[in-house]
Parts: sequence; C-alpha cells; structure tokens
Amino acid sequence: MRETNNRRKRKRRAGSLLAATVCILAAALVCLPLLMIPGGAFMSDMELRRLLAPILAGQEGYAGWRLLPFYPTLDCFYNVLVASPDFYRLFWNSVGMTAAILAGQLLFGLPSAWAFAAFRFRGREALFALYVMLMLLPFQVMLLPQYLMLRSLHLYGNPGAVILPAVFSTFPVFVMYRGFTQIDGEILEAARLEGAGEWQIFRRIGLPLGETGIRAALVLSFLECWNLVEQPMAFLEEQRDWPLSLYLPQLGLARAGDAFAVSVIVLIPAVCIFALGQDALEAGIAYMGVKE
Amino acid sequence: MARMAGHRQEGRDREMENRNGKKKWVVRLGVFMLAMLIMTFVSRIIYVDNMPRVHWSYPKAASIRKEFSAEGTVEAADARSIAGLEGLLVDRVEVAVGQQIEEGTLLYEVDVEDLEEQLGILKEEERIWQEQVRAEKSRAAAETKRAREDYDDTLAELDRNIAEQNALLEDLKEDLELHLFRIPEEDAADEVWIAWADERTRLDREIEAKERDIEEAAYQKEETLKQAGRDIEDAQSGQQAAEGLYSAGYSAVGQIQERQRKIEVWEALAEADGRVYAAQAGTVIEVMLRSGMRMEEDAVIRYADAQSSLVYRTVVTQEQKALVHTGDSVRIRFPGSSQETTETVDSIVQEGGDYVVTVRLEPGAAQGQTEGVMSVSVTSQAYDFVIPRKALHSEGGICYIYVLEEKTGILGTELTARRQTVGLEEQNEDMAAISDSTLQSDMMIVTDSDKELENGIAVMEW
Repeated sequence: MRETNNRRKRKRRAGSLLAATVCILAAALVCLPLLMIPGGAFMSDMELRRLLAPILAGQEGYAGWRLLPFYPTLDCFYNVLVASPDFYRLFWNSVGMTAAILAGQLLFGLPSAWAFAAFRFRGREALFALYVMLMLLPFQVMLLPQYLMLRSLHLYGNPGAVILPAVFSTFPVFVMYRGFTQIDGEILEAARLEGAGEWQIFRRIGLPLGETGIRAALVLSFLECWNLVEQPMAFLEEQRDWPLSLYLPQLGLARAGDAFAVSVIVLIPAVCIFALGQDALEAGIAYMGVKE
Repeated sequence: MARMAGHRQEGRDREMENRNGKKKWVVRLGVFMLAMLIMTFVSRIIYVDNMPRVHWSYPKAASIRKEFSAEGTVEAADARSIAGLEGLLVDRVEVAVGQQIEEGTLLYEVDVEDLEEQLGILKEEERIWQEQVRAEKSRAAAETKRAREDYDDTLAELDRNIAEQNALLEDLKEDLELHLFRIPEEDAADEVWIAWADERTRLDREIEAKERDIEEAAYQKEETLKQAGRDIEDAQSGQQAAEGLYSAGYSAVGQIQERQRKIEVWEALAEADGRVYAAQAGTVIEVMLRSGMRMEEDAVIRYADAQSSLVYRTVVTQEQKALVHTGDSVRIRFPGSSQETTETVDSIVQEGGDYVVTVRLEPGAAQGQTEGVMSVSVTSQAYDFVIPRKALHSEGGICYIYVLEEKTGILGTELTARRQTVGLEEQNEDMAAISDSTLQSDMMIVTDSDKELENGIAVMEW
C-alpha cells in the first residue's frame, strides 16, 4: 500500500517536472523577442550587420544573436534621442492622441457605463447587447464604414480620424460598466432615500467605488492607443500626424539598431502605466469574467 | 478585537505601501516625460544647427558679359637700342626714361681704364686664335699634298700589276693555240691522247684563273682609288675648314665673330673716350643700366624718334585669346593718369602657350607712357536661364545646381535641396548661362550655402 502511494507520488512529481519544463520552455520562447530588444539597442552597427548579415546583406547561412552585445555602445540611443527630431514628433503625436482618446473615453464612456449600471430603462439590454456586439467586431469590419463616415465629416487625414472612433470605443464602457456593477444596489437605494441627487450619487459613490474598473479601462485603453497601427495607417495621410508605433516600420532593416533603441524607449511609458494600474487591471479582467 | 485591529492596521500599511509604490511610478513616468520634453528641444536645436542655411534666387534671362584685363608695355614701333657693350663697366648714366634727347646727346660713359684692359684681353685672345688658324692651315695643306701623292703612287702600282697579269694571260693563250695545233694522229695510242687532253685542260684552267685575277685586280684598283680619293677629300675639307675658321669648331664660330665685332666696337668706343652718344633725337623709353654695374646682355638704353608711332604689347592666355581678335576694339588705360584710349588690335601672334597681342597706338596717344592695361569686353547672346556662377557646381565634368523644393515629411513641410544636372552654355567669373529642358523661371536655385549640400538634404533660408 505504502509502495503504491510512493509510486503515485513519484509519477505525480515526474508529471509536474515535465509540465514545468514545457512551461518554462514556452515562456522562454515568448520572452525571447523581449530579451533581444535591450541587447540590440546597445549593439554597434558593425556587430548588428555581422550578426544579421544573412538578412541584411542576403548572405548564406542563418542570422545569429547575442543577448549581451560584444561591443556595447550608446550609438543607437544617440541616433534616436539626439540625432532624430522626427522621433520626438511622433512620440508627442502618440502622447497627444493617447491623452485625447483617454480624456474622451472618460468624458463619454464613463457616464455611459454608469447609466448602464445604475439605471433601469427601456431598451437597456438591447442597447448593451449592441455595445457588446460592436466591441466584438474586428477593426477590419468597421474600416469601410468608418472611412466613409470620416470622409463625410471631413476628418479623414486628420488626427481626429483616429481619436474620434477610439473615444467612442465600446470596450472601455464595458470594462467600466463591469466595475460599477460591483457596487451594491442597496447602497445606491439608501443614498436616494437619504435625498442624494443622481450627480451626487455618481460623484460620491459611483466614482470612488468604481475606481478599479475605471483604472482598468484606462490602462487597457492606454496600451491599445499607444500601440495603434492599423487606424493611423488607414486614416492618416501625412507622416507628420503619425503616432510613434509607425516609426519602427519607417526605420527599416538598415537602422535595425535604432529600431531596437526605439523599442526600448517606447516600452518605458507602457511599463510605467502598467505598473500604476496593474492591480486595477487584474481586478478589471476579473470583473469581465463575472456573469451578470 | 485585537486581531481585527491588527488586520485593519495591516490593510492600511499595505494600502500605504501600494500608494507609495504608485507614487514612485508616477514620478518615474513624470521624469521620463520631462526628459523627453528636454531632449525634444535639444534634438531640434542640434537638427537646426546642422541644417545648411542657404541663399537662393530665381534664374533670369540675360546675356553673359565677359571681360578681362591684361597688363602690357608701350613700345616705340621703331626704337633704337644701344647695346653690344656687354662686359664693360658703366661709369656714369646721363639720361632717364622719358627724357627728350637730341642727336649727339651723351647717353652714358664706360670706365675707360676698364675698357682698355678688356680690349687688351680680347685682342690677345684674337691674336692667339689667329696663330692657331695659321698653324692649322699649313698642317691641312701638308696633309692634302700627302694624300695626293699617295693616290698617284697607288694608281701607278695597281696599273703595273694589271699590265703584268694581262701579259701572263696573253702567254697562256698563245700556249693554248700551239697546243691545239699539236693534236695527236687518229691512230695514236690512248696514252698520247690522254696526255694531250690533260695538257689542254690545264691550260684552260690557268687562263680562267688568270682572267679572274685580272678582274680582281681591277676591282681592287677601283676600291683603292676610291679610298685614296676620300682621303684627298678629307684633307681638302680640313684645309678649307682651317681657311674658313671652322677649325676652331662650329660652335665657336659665333664667339669668334662676336669677339671680332666687340673689338671693332670697343676700339671705336676707346677712341671716343668711353662715351656713348645718341644717333638721333627722340625720347628715352628704357634705361636698363646704372652707374657702377658691369653690363650684361640686357643692359640697354632704348630711345625712339618723337614722331615715330608707338605700339602696345601684352600677353594673353588661350582662354582670353578666345575673346579678342585682330581688328577688335580694345580699351587701354595708362596707370597714374586718367588717359584712356580705344584702339584696334593689330596682330595676335602665338608664343609658346600664350599669345602676344599688338595694338598700334595713334601718334601722341601714349606719349611718355611705358605701361598700360588693356581691357576687353564681350557680350554674349541672350540666354533664358542665367544664374550666379557660385550656384553652379561641377563634378567629373558634369554641371549641376541645387533647386529648393518644399517636401512634407515627419517633421512637417521643410525646404529641401534637390540636385539637378544642367548643361553649361557660357559663363564668366560671376554668372553662368545654363540649359535643361526641365528648368523653369520660378525655380528657387541655391546660390550660396554655409555647409556642403547633398541631394535631398533639408535646408533653411538664410
């Protein structure tokens, strides 16, 4: 009996070990591109060209890589941060677009989410179902209607063409709504009985208690806006209006080192925002999984 | 109760820690954004600082005016030179440039003692040379005589030899005829016949050999006489050379003649106590000697008749020559005076790689002048596109310009310099006429830049 138990334990341990190995390998594979970025950013142009010769110069063999550069240098950072004013143009474009979108979502999305969560009105379910449906539609499906609408509004080619559709995105409304639904309905009823107005209830109860959902929505929206690629490519004509996410393709293979440096810099705000809203993000994702 | 309070405290601590952690990230994000803001300005400043600043202008329709100036000298068309006294010591110069002189005016004096000493040296050299010539002549005459005698002796010897050979040949022929009459009888023995035939063969061979000897002797005579004749000619040439001064060597002939001429001139000068006078009235136009100097080849005094015409001479390069032709009008300005005259080019003569332009001046046009500056001005046909010369660049024989264009990129709309190849029609020092089918009159052409330009580079207006 004891021998059988021991055998089971050994089997379980071997299974765990195998699962851990597979998971670690998979994680390493996923993390590998991320680990390549800092190495490439500190590599000299000569070292990069030598390692990537099969790609850059069409030489025979396979491209190689080093996690730690053999000849570390700050040349790529100098090229990007000092010698490329165009980088800053796109950086501030991204900052501006993201700030405008997040502000717009707070202005329009927050009241919408509160309305869905706090009020019962005719057609609420149908309207919410429409929101969910819009949220599920991929961008490619919405591309043509959005294009036609933006043309008719004379917004095509203008940064507003990217900002406006994102402001009215339904996904943050959904996340914030889920956050507001965590507030106990009795608290709201009690406040109403005490004579509090709807604005007071929203400001004094809704916002503090739904803060987690709001922050989760903002973090997710930030990450989405910071990395926008398809919308600017589709709706912006002038390079000067592009966000930073379109700068990397612009650099090309000839400036691979600079592209790695840009990647590092682009990651910094995203990491900061993620660190600021990590708890809210986890809670927000949990809310989304809760059945109504 | 206490446990609840502990839990509450723990929760508050965690919340505080969480807030502090977030604050740190907010500060980090703020610092990053501030750094990016500062670097935006820094990067922009560096970008603008490195950007070439340019001047530009539109091309205009105009002609190209080509001008050049050349310094030259004013000379008398028929000036007299007093020269040929090289080697003498100048005692005193009595005239200056521009001075009017009369016939017989004292021009300069040479040191008489030095003159006599130099003359004595020259005469001694001449005497020695004359003796050498006489000795050479007698030696050459003796050689000629000896060559003639050798020729006569050789001729007599050869004739005698040939005569002897002919006599021997005649004897052999007679022997052969006699032998032919002594033919044996038909029934004679074979030995007799054989002996007779052998004798005949011997005689035939000897006759042939003798005839060859005679031919050979005649040939030798001819050759020997030729050589003897050449010897006579050589001897006669030597004699003639000695008589014609050539014995001193071909290159020395000029020196001998020069020495003899000098002796002649210096003797005349010594008779005049070393004084040199003007042969006619006129104006001194050049004095190339001074007191105390020993005269060299270029030590001359030149003076011209006051009524003779003057010529202006200058040297121009091959490029400048393309702008001036015989019969063209040119302006000549004389330094130090407001005098300027327009004259006609008389001739253009190539000298080495350059050209000498001669302009005959009207009488009185440049009286008292020795130098002048000739100005030539030529205006080309009208061209549609004329730009400042400094706007035109050249590389490997291909001419190009930089045209300003507005280009919209990541940084917005910027001025960029586009390189455009053009054809060069004509140019002077300041302007250039260009041509190309794509040129337009409203093109902004870069005329000047504080940094080197390259195709597509962003630039700023100055």
